[in-house]
Amino acid sequence: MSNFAQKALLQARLPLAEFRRFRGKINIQRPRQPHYERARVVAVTNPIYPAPPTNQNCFKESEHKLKTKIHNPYNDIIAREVRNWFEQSKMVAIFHENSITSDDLFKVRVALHRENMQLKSYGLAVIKNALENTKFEAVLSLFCSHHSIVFSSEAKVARLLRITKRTPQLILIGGIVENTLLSKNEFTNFASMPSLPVAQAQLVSVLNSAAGQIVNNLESHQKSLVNMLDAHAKREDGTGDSSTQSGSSGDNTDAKKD
Amino acid sequence: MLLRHCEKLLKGVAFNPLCSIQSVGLKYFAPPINYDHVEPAERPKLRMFEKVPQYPPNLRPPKMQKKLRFMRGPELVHNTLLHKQYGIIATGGGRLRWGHLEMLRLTIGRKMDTNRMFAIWRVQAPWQPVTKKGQGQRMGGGKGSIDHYVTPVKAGRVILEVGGKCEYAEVKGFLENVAAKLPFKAMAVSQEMLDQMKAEEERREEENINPFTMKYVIQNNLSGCHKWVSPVDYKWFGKYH
Repeated sequence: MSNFAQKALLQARLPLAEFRRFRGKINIQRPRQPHYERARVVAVTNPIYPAPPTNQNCFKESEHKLKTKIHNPYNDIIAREVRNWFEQSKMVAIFHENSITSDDLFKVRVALHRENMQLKSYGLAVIKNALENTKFEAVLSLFCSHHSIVFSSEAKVARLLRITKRTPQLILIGGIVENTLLSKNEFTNFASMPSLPVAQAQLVSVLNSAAGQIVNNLESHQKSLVNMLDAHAKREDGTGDSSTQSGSSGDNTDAKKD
Repeated sequence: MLLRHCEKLLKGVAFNPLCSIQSVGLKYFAPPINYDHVEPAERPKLRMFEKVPQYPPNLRPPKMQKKLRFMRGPELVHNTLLHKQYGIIATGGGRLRWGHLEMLRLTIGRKMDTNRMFAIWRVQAPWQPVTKKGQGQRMGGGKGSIDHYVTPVKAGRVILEVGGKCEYAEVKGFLENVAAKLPFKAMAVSQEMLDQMKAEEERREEENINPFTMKYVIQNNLSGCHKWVSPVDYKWFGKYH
C-alpha cells in the first residue's frame, strides 16, 4: 500500500511542457531544417495549381502579338496623305509588283513623272488605315501583296498603259477612273475610248441627227408636194421656154448651119 | 458603274487578313518618356550616416539584448517606394552595419548621374548596439562593451530609393551589384516589379486548389500541430520564421 502511495501519488510527475529560460537564438539568415512532423505538414500544405490546359492553341501567342501592336502616329499622317492622293486623283491604277530591280522601277517612275503621274507604294496597314470607311473601301481587297499605285490628276489611261507595257513586272489589277472602279479589262477598254470632249461631240451629233431626221420626216410630204408642184410649174413654163429656147437654139443651130 | 457594284470584279482575288508579307515598314520611334511628374530632390546623393549615435554627455550608451524580433517577420510599414520609381528591398531579415551603408552610399553616388537622378535612404542610421567581449577574454565578468551599432531590417523593407529622370535599365546594374553585397538577401526593384510581385502572389493564393493551407492547419490544430508549432507560426503561418 505504502509502496503504491509512494509510486502513484507522492512521486512528482514530470511536466508535459518543458520550459527552458534561455532557448538558443534562431538563425534568421538560414532557418534550420524543419522537424520531420512539421516537414510532413509543410509537404501536405504546399500549394497545388490546376494543370495548364493542354488544348491551348499554338497560334494564340501570335494572335496576341497581332493584337498588341504599337500605334505609330506617323502611320496616321501617311494614311491621311494616301487618302488625299485617292481623293484628289482622277486616275488611280493599282499594279501587282513582281520582283523588279529598282533601276527598272526608276525608269518607269521617270516615264510616269514626265506624264505628271506618281508611282507610290505603301504598307498594308497604312492603306487599310487610309481607306477603311471611305468610298474607296472596296479597293482594299486588291492590296494583299506587293503592289504599286499610280496616281494621276488627269485620266490619261492610254498613256499609262503604254508606259507600263514595257515593264512586265508591273501587272495591272484594277483602277479607279473618275470615281469609278474598273477591272483590268474595263481599264484597257477605257483607254481605247475617245476622250470626253470627242465623245460629247459625237453624242451631240447623234442627238442633232435625230432631230434633223424628225424635221426631215415631218417636212418630207410638204417638200415632196412643193417639189412636185415646182416640177409641174417648171414643166408648164418649160414648154414655152423650151420652145423659145429650142427655137433660139434651133436658130443658133440654124445659124450655125447657115 | 459605281464603286458599290465592284464586288463582282474582285471575286477572284482572295483576301486573307492573316497573310503576312515581308515588306519595308515604317520605323517606329517611340516618343521620349515624360518625366514631368518627377520632382527633383534637393540632395541628389545619399546622406552620410554617423557611425555611432550621439547620446547626451550625461548618458552612458545603453547595451541591448540581441532583440531578434527587429529582423524577424515581414516589414509592414516601410515596404513601398515613396517615389514610385526604383529601389533596393530586403527579401530576408538581417542587420546593416555602418560599413554596408557606406558601401551603398559611395557606390551609388559614384555610379548614378547626379544631374538627372537622386537617391534617398529609407533606413535609419545604425542605432542598435552590439556588444563584444575582447579577444582572449575568459567567460564571465559581465556583458562585454559595445563594439558597433547596426540597423536591423525585416524582410520586404525598402533600404533605399533611386529616382529622377531615368529608366530602370539605367539603375538596375549598380543597384543589383550593391544588393548582392548586403548581409541579407536583397534585390533591386522598380515600382512595376513590386506591383507585379504583389499581383502574382495574390494570383497564386487565389488559384491554389489545395484545401489544406498552413493557416487552416494551424488555426484548426489539424493532426495536433499545436504541440509543435512555434509562437511565430500563429502570426505568420509558416511564411516567416
